Amino acid sequence: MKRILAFIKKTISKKNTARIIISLTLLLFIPHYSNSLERFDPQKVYGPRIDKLCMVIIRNSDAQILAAQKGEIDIMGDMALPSDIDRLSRDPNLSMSLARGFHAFFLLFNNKAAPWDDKYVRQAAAQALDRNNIVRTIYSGYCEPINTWLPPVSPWALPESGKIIFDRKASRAKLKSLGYSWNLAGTLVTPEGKTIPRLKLLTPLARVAPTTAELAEQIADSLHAVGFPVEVEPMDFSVMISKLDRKDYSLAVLAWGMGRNPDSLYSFYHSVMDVEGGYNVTGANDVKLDEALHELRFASDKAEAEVASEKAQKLLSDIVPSIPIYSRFSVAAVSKKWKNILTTDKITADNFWTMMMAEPKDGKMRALNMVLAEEPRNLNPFVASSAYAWQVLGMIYEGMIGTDPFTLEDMPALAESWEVRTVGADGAGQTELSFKIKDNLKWNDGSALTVYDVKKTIDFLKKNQVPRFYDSVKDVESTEVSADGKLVVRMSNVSYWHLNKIGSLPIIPQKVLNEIKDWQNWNPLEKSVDSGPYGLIGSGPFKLETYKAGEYVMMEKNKYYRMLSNPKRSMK
Amino acid sequence: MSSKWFLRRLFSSIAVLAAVLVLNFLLFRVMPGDAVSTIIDPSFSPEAKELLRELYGLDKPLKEQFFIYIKQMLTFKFGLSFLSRRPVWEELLSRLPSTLILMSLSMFFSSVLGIWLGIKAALNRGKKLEKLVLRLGAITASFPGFFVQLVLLMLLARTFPLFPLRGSLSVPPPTEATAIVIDYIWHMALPVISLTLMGFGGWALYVRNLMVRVLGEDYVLMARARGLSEKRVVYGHSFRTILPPILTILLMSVPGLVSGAVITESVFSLYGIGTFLLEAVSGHDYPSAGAAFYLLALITIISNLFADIIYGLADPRVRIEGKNQ
Repeated sequence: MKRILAFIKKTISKKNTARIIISLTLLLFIPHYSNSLERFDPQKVYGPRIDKLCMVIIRNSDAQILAAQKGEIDIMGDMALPSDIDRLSRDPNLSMSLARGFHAFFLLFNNKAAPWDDKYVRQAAAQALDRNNIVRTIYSGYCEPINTWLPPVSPWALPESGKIIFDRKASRAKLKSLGYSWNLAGTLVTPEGKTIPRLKLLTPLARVAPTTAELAEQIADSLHAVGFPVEVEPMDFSVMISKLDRKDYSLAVLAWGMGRNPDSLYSFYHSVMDVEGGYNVTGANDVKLDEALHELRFASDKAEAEVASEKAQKLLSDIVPSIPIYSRFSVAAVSKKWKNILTTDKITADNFWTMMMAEPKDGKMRALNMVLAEEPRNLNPFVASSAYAWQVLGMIYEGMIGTDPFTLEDMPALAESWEVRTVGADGAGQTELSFKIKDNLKWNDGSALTVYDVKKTIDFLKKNQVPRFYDSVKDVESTEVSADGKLVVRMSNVSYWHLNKIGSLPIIPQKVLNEIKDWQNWNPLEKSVDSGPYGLIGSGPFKLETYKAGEYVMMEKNKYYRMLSNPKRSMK
Repeated sequence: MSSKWFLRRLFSSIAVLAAVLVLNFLLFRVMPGDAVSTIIDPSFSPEAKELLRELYGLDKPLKEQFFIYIKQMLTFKFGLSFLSRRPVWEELLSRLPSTLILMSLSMFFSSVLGIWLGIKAALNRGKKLEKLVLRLGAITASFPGFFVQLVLLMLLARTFPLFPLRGSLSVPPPTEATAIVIDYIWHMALPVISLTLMGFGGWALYVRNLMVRVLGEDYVLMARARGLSEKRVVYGHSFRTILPPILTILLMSVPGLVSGAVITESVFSLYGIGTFLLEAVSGHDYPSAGAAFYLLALITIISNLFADIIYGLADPRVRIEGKNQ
């Protein structure tokens, strides 16, 4: 939070419009009027304290804002437009929460086509972009310029992520030292004496992504200023993706949602991912980088992963296969009628912990209403692919490992403890994970949750090759319950990331899995028991009460939840 | 209207439907990318994407996909939606009631109001009423729909909270049947009012123009000379003459009843076909988009046929010409 505020203050002091000053000043006051809590031990939290959680489906962002202003909505997350944030910041009944996000925006180069096949040219282009100006003019300060390939919120991001490298003179000097010159129109001429032809910058259509389209124009102007004849070409998103896939482009702008772990760098920049459907759309192909990314993906422990992550990020800074531009802040609005709302510099108020601890300030119990911006459509956990469906399912199912809201590090969920070790020939053959599942866990129907449910879930996902979980379980070689009741998962290769992949799988009761004949067409709402839909028996803090398509998803407190009866409050 | 004429019309309708079927398949496949290619998620590897493609049947040769598609369309078994993995029929049927109610009510109110105002304007040529109808009609028909709806939402649901902000039911919904009906009407009122406001202007201008022309015809003068009442002259002679084009427009609007109003459904957070269609097209959901467009084409063709038949019933000249042919 301190870094965010420092950045915002810096932005204010440079040059401004009245609007920016107002919005940023409001943001400076956030810690004073938000209901945020001090740091506590998340393992000692008890909840949920509300009886019902209602996810109200409102698709239109203006209608969401009106609903929040009218008091019909208590929590509204994922706000992106500065004007919307400004509107709600002015509402005396709402608090705003702001956190660094996992969203990162990049300018992509086609590393296989001239002039971007030369890393020094790419470095010069990176120096020509004034990220601070972009952040100020387009986003009114609601995002931060970045200079590394992981979003700054990630515990793995290098500290120099905020370093300013904008220097137009240095950019021109670098191009000159490479043998480039400029013609009378100011366009770059290659060392071979050829004027650089027009370079198309692909961007989604302005009506679909207005800020991205505007950003593309600014990038084009910045590159123009040093002589690159860049021209913006807006197009349908799927057309753009198909062009990127075929490397039929010169420049493109694209945003990625990245996880907390650096493993995604392998997908985006390793040469083996430069295949059809792969994510290495820049065509990055560097032996040293490949080596570092391989070390990162197949690191045997955290220490090894940390070294490889740093090495890979430093190599990326040198190779510049793409240019990181900015990372957007996550912003959420919360009604002041609620207390115990958790906001950290890494997560906004619309989080799991808020759902656990929130209580009405007046003591009169009622449902906590939050916005669901899209229809969940299908609650079958094997085929549900949208973030909105998982917003619901994430309250019903739990994994073995959770995420600490303050550090984003692993913390126990269904598993009490775990071990990662490398076994096999010469100690370098396979990763073996062992999980000790907590005692006395129960499903939301009151039946016991055992280590065999966890084993069955992993086996089921592996056997059926469910696409959504395929990457998590494809390397599972065997699952066994040891004599001391631990679940031992042996993988076919070595990778520290197996822990997160297996540890975060949603655990489903084996009695439910045993009844599923066709997981693709399975309707979890078909059969009901006293506790609710049989297909949605989970161990999470809530269970499904009603899903009224197009209207709302009503969830009820799981009265068997593992953290429900902990009497010790840990808030200081 | 001879049986030969009818058969000819039927045959051409079937040909149009066949063309729509083929185009429906080809156009979606010609579009770059598919439902899987737009996934950008580093935890979803190219191998996992291939598995998903297999699941959707996109790994099969195009010819095989085409035959599966034709079979699905002709048997009305549309398969599973790529996006929701639920049967397309189930998806469509769950959304249809809301769309039908919204669209038919707003079409009814806007056409009745528009036709009535159009007739009044034609009967008051050069007077203030005509000018008012013309201006109102032009304004309401030309304003962007989303703007009008957002203004109404802000005014009547937020500033003066007479109507709810979203959806078709309160959260939590009432328990008694009567209360549920009242709650539903209360929720649907503002969307219907907004669509009526935006739709009546077009009707008013159209009917006014038709009526002005008809009122100047000799047979209307003759009817007046015969001493018929003004009501009979206007509704019995003049309005009846302009009925066929009005009926045609009404019947041609029938597909719109089903296809819904994308913007209205989005602004008022209604669970309807409009948003379903939009999501299906933008998400490359071939089964859903294919089924929806096929059904729309079918409804359009049937409405067209009906329009031809009703045209004949409403206008004796068509019947006579048909017989002569």
